[in-house]
Amino acid sequence: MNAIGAARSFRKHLRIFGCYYRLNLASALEYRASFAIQAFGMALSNSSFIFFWWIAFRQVGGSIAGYSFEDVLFIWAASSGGFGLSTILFANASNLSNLIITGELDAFLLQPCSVLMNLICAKTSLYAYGDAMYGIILMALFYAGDSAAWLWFGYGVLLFAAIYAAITLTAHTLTFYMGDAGSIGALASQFSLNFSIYPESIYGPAVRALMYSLIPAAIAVHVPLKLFRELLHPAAALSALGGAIAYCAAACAFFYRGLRRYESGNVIVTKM
Amino acid sequence: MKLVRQLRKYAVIARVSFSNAIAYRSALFTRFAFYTLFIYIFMRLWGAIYREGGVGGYSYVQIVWYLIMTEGIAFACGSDVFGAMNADVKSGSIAYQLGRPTHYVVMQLASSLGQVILNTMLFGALAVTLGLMFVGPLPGFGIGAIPALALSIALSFIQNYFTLMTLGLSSFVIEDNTALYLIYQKLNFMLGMFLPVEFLPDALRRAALNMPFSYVYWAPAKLFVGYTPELFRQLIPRQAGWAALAGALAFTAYGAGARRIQANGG
Repeated sequence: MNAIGAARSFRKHLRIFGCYYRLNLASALEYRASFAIQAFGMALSNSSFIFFWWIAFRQVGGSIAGYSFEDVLFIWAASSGGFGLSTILFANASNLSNLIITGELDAFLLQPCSVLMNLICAKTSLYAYGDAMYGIILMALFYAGDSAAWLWFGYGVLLFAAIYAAITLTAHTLTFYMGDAGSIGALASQFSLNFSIYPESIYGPAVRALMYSLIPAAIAVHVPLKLFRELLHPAAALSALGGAIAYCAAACAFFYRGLRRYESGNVIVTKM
Repeated sequence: MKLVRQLRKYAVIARVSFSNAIAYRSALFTRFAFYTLFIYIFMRLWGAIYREGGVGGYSYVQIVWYLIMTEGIAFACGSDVFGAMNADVKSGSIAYQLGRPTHYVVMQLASSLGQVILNTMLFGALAVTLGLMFVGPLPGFGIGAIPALALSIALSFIQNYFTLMTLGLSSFVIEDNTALYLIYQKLNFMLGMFLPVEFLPDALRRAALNMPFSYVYWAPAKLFVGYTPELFRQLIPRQAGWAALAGALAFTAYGAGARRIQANGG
């Protein structure tokens, strides 16, 4: 494909991506009360964890595992915002195992655009809007005038959104190779979240190695915090970005390799 | 005699539900993994907190066992009765249950019991294994406390089950009752599941002890880590009271809701 063809294809996919977002948002807004309740419920759910941290810091004062209360709020904001953005845009990644098992993947294979993008963008989560909103609210409450905090927060959110989707996709792609990997997918998602919302130093060396390699959620949350606190050289941001891009590329390659093993279920479904 | 015949009917339902739970036991393995993950994380987290300084009233070993107990109750005795009630009411399938020679509320309870009994046995074994592996035996805990603990867990289950059922049945009058469920769940989290009530600020602690939420997780876990006959006499009547109130509310909500059902057609 020459450069002009590549540029056209990129523009086409960008339009499809935008179209998916608009349609998903429109379907979410169809039941506005339900949408608002679910988003509010998720924000409330996240608040209960902040309450936990408030009590914990109230008990010991100072810091816990090298993190201050404000640091914990920052990693919570970045994780919550990143998770929200990821599941607003790519919620269907966690549905991959189910689509493979039921044979419903066929519907995504017949359309003239990237299978992977078509697949993972096809669904949104109503709860995710609450998560995304919660991240922004936390930042507005505790870091309102701090531009450096907002910069690294934005960087963390984008990185987390991409990495979380890639982790979920990779785990569910295993279904192509070994049968139903739905529970592995759920576990991988849970690991990613739990690696992000607690101070990294509470974990032992083996788990920390996992947080920066196989399930690299830490680079999207703990690295931005260290950059914000100036504990790392700004060049580390580029390394983290490079790592995230490499991980996402590997996840895509793994998916397409697995897709070759897919056998059609000959299921007739409508994709609306 | 009539009561025995009635109970036998529900015992059969519970037995069938137990057999079902055994047949589909593989679904439990993912939940085991989640439970282990949560306990591991909280153990590490509280380890870090205790390294920074003492936390009033609980030793590190006690707090880990406390969390093993609260999470264990959540995993073993948790129930999807809220979702089931919502589905039955909103789809109208509750109307089909009216013709059965059983009381809807008791039948739901009996059909959840099998799964809960199996879960309690399996998660109980896992909980003890994890506790012994991570922090060793719980100091001061004796076999003699087990019947008291079992009673406390049973009351916690009944209170939680009937409260969730009442919230689910609220869909007779509220179209989208998810917010009620979420608020109840988070109050349980904050007032006992993640944190012992003793850690809360004074005013909040006093309020929590006079509300039902802490008696779902805090009461059995507190009894577990610091059992004394005096504590038993103090907590069990309160648990029984809240459980009875939750049960009464569920029966009332069902009675009021069932009168609103309009069944048409064949």
